[in-house]
Amino acid sequence: MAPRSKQPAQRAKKQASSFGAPEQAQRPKDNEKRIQTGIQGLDELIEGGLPRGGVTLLSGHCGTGKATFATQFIYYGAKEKNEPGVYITLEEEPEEVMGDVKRFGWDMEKLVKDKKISIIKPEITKFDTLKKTIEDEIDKIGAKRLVINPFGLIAAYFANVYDARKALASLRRQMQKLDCTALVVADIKEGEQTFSFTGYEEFVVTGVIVLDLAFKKESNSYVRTLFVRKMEKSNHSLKLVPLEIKPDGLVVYPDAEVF
Amino acid sequence: MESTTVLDMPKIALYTISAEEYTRRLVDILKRAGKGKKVIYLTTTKPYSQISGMLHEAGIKQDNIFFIDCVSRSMGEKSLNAQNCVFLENPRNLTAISIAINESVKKLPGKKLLVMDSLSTLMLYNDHVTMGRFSNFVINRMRALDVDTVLSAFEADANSDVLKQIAGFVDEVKKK
Repeated sequence: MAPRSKQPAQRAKKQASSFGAPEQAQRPKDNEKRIQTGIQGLDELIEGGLPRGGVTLLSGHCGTGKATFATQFIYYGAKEKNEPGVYITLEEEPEEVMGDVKRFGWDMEKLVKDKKISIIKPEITKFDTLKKTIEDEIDKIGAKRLVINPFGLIAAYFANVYDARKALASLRRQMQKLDCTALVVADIKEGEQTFSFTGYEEFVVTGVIVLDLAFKKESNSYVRTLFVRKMEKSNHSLKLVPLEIKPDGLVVYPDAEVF
Repeated sequence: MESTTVLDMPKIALYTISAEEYTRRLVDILKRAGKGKKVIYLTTTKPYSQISGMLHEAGIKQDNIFFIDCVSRSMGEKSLNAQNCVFLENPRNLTAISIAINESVKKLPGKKLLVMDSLSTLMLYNDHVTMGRFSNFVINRMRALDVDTVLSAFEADANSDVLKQIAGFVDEVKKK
């Protein structure tokens, strides 16, 4: 049996830092180029936040926490970072979006009144019209954050996959131009192997964050998980980490494991 | 499994204890190893209320003990509320246990001791590969966070594949 010693731990720490990845993934750098998500524990996995002015796909099956994540991103920005946000809801009514998160103690209505958050449900008739609506809303409140939930409804509007991909690419350019960071929500059908409606959105965006539920036969229950599949300009973690919905919102546990 | 007594207080130790002596031995360990430390006590064998009562009877102050209770909720107890205890769903969910251990350790200041009571219960619900992964994770994490750790198990399980494997990860194996 090895005698008690601090050396192995110190050596392990030293090796981890010299090999780079784990330490680098946790080190926030270029803070001005990052937008903090407001999801406790997540920013450690992506070098301090989402790349500023980028478009990140938030992908997951039903019940994985996507809507809560998206709302938390907008709420945190407006409340804590003085970064106003626009929430484009394509299915739920704005009142429902605000009502859903009252249980977390998030007073969205006040932030809407204070013009820190704008929640709109536009008709999708033409993508260019939608883009114009988004730009107007961003201009109106000086938004730094945008959520589109769900993006699949926009993708479904296009006659072919190529046009949907082009539309997302144009949204990405628009976000860069407006210096606004977008989170687009992608609903994934059970059993699908893609991260989005068409399966191509993930190639166009800056980042892909996947929320999921892992079934554990031992406990006959599911465990919430998060995985950063892609994050441009980031040495992001590739670890599958547990996620919980706590009384005050989503929490990611970068130091824990999924068993 | 061989019994060794190399050191007085190992950094990470696996104690195999006879079922008859289990509670008394664990109290002894807690008295000795917990001295001057914040203790995180993970219980998968008895509910918090019983462990707390048992420690009280043994004259152990609990100001410095934080409990992770994996039993009470699985017994159907509804009104659970204690400042120094977090109540988990059941002993089957190793992910939730790993989160609770991590968060408790991060929350408590100073020198710490983790007591895991017991691996035998966790082994009832989790296969040996998962148990091996989980134990290895806890041991490595506690080493990295400089937390002394006591893993306890029933003596009857000493020759199980899981405990033999864990014996290779720890600093000391002791038969109590």
